[in-house]
Amino acid sequence: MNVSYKLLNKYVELNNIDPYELGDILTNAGLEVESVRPLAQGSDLVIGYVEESYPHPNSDHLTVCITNVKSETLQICCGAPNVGQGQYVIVAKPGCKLDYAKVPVIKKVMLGGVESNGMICSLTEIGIPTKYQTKEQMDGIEVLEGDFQIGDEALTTLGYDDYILDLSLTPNRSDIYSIYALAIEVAGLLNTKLKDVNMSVVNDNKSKYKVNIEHKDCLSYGLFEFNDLVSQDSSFKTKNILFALGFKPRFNIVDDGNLAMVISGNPVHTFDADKLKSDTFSIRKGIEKDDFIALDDNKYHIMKDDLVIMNGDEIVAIAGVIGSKSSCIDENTKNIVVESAVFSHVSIRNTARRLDLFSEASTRYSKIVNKYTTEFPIALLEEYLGKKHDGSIEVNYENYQPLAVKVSHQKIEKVLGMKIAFEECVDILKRLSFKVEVLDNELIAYPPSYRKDIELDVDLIEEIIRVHGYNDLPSTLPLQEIIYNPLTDMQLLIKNTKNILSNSGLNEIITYQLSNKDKLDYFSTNKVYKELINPLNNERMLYRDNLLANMLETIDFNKSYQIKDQCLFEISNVFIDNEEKTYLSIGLMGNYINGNWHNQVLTSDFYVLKSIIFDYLAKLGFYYGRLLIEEVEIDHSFIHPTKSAYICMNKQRIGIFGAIHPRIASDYKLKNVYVAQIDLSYLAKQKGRVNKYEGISLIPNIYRDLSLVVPNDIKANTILKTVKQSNSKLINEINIFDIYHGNELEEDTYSMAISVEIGDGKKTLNEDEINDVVNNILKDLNKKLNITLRG
Amino acid sequence: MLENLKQELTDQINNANSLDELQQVKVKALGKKGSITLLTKNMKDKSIEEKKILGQAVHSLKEYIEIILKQKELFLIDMKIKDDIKKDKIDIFLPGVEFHQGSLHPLTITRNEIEEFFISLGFEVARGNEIESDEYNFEKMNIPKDHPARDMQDTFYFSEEELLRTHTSPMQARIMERNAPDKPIRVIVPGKTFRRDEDDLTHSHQFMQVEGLVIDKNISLADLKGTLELFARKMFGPNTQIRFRPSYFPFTEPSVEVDVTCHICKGKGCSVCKHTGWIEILGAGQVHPNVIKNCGYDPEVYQGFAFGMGIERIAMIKYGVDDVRLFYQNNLNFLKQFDKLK
Ligand SMILES: [Zn+2]
Repeated sequence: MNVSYKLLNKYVELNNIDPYELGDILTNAGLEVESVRPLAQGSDLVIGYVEESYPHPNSDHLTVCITNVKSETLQICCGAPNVGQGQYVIVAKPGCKLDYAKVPVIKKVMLGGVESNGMICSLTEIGIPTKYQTKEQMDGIEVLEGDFQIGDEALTTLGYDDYILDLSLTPNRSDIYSIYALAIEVAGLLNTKLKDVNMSVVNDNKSKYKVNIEHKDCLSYGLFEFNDLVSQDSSFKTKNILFALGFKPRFNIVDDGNLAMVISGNPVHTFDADKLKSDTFSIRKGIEKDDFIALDDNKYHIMKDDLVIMNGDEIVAIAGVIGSKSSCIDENTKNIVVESAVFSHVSIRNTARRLDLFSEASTRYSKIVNKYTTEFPIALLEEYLGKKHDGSIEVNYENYQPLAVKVSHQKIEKVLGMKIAFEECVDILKRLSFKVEVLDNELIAYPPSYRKDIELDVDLIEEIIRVHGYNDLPSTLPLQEIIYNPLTDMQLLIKNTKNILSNSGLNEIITYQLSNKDKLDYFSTNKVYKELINPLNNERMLYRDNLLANMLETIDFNKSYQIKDQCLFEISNVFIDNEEKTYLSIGLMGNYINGNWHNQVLTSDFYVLKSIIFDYLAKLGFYYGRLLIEEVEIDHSFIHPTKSAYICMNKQRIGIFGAIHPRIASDYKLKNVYVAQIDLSYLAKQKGRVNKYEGISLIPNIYRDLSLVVPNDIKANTILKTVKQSNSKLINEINIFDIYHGNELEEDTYSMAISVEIGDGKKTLNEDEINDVVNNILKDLNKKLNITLRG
Repeated sequence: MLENLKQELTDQINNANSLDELQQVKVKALGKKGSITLLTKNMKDKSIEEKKILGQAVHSLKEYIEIILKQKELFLIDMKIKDDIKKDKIDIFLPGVEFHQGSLHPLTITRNEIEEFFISLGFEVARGNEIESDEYNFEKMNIPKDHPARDMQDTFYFSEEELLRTHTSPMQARIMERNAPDKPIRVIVPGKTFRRDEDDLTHSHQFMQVEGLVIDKNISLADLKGTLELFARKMFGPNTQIRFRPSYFPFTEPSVEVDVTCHICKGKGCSVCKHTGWIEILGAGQVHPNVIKNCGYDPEVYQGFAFGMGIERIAMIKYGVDDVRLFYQNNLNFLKQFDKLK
């Protein structure tokens, strides 16, 4: 909200506190002032008089103006179409600074061979935004209406010496959408006096109109008649106040209505009395009309829940939002009926939001408007129009009972945790226009009617500390009994997972929970998502059920930055099988270890990913055996069916890992991307093994290398199992150190070289015992798996 | 004669330049046919008295030679090691193995730091769902259906009653209900939250929040100030000051915005703090009696404070990041810049 410093000063004594300092004081009291700026800018601007003007000899758009500025007479070449002899104008003399002009410092120049000593200013050049100007003002210089003293300082004389404070208000202080309410607040903060103002009118309830309130969402409705008005431009001063408040001046009736609204906080709506067909007004709901023509010339659809103002059987306004075209005032209006009413802010807000019509009035009505000052805007209107109203009627739906709020001195100090004198508490509330009764150590406060936010004792405490200031609030620490609440299993799992994986060379990413169907579908198992009813855009309308879509998107994004080697992970919630679960995703592309002069490159593949996952799970206490892997269905939708595996625990599939499906890889134009997704919610419920000390063998183990010829359909796990089972007591470890596929081998076979660690930990085995073990291995491999020793 | 032999052997030992040469001298002196060994063998035909005298002389010669042989040997071994070291020199400036450098996300690092501070003060850490009910997100937080504050935090809805939480407060309500009517509370709730905002430099439709809640019989606004003062010093340095400014939140009363002195200019004013010397970091206040009542405590007996901060905002201030969207783009060149232990 824009506030005019001068207008504020009209209602409260500001004690010469400048606008910038006032801005700081308001901000520190919880009324944030976003900026303070002068209404107009320019040094040494004076009022000049064009004594003579004639066309420039060498230019068809310039006019040479002989301009009197009292101290001298200046020859100025002016490009404005509306400049002419006999005008009072704003003159920038050479040396003058104008921040908003095309040339910020005015100099003596030659224009087309003619000397020009200064500039005649437009409103834009002194800093008034074009949105407040008429077309003529935008295209030309500002021609001053009236009589002026030539040579006077222009900004002060014309009332441009104002400052604009831009307030950003919190929703509880919507009462401040009124200059007068702000004045009361400022008086409390500065401890200064409000200036006298007439807030009421003589309301004799004599009117030719009748009012029927037919819905409780209209709390109060008043009509005030003003007859025999003359439509005209508003005065210079009124226009300048409107500029400062951010309104575009139109003509006196509209402008004065706007001022009355901004000062009182209550919007008024003005009907042209001569356009009304009936003497009866009714305020009601339940009407549907799809072609209501409003004063902005647009057609609106009125629904049954919208509160409307009826004149006879015609809708003349959507209450608090906009009036009808047929009843609105114009430049020829003479007689008006002014509505000053209180409506339910909820009802007005719903209608304004549905129609997307947030005007100055509907915005104020959508907040909680000061309920019992319907007369105040009319008193202001009388002041600005310069005449009393001619007839009035006001009807209330209910009667106002002022609220009494109690608080004890002890409660104030207990909530704040500091000592504060009871007298000061009482004084602060009185300064904010509360009526206060004191009983021993307790006070009863009656908030002013516009302070709808004051309901409880803590609301009073906030007023007290806000005005007292937070600077001497002490710093203490809460004293409480010790409460033991360790991290949960899930929290520990997340923490450990992040630490283990980041130490395994993976970079953590955090991506958006909301995505779109096309992307999620790639990696979704059942393609059923939680869908927003009010998404911001199509990109983000579904809460994801997997993390892989975003993982792939991130890999693709980084690839566009020429980053080839990527090792990523993310931990996040997903919504799947009707509940929120926590998943882990991993994505690898490019090299896991870069090759250089010293070592070979290790490119990320299925086996690198497998190691990362099983090393991670082992560190959590989950070992192979309890964890198993299982082949993936050949028709799997998102993972490469023959380069992937499920991770299983307790016969449950808790994750999947492998290369992404070639179809997706080709859609994304990505190669060799490996991903994993693991259900951490399941894992968090499992207990990892706690390792026990197993003793250290002092007897050296013996190693025997065997080169085997294996039929193609025999998988590594079967071989390892068979070897181990051939003598499970003496065989400790088996290491596969080579795999070879080659033409010289028998058809449908491959070669595998294993190294078997043999030993019983208690005594050194002799050669015969070792040979027995090896022979047994070979016998079993041959008998069970048709595996032979390579010749 | 023994003296001559001693001198001869001593010279030979001194002249030996390698372990091999020394070994040859050793064999020549002490080997089976070595000169000293032969001396003892040649004593057979001597008298007992002579044997005794000569024997002693040979023995001491042998001892002497053995000692200087050992000394020389140690010297030569040392020489050889020094020599080998010189020959075995590597270029220490060649790069090592390029392991992939893993990292935690800057928001995780910041969140960890915040969590560690509050855990050290005995706070519980709670985790809640992101999909929440209107009742817990709004109603219990003193934000009824038509409350103007609902405009402040435009909300993503799945249905009339189901939404993406706009703050982590719903979990606070659940903790209060768990502990009501008389158990004290000291908890923080970190997590992802959502507002229906277009993404730009300073807004993100998804962001992370940490909220804190302390409830007991005498928890005051001064306790809030003391707690946050310690927090600010932990996050932004030991000389950081904080200040309270009045504000408004439906769930607290009184409500305050909390500023910290700018850690860049130390309060003198710079572009980061918009020349005010202060940076806003969080909102806080005394829990509104309606919230306390809604969650099962008696507001006449129990009171306390609550605060909520955006992790992105803290991270942006700490690391000087000027665009919140960077946290969610996950450009690896960005993510790897935070991979440091403090
Ligand atoms: Zn600064």
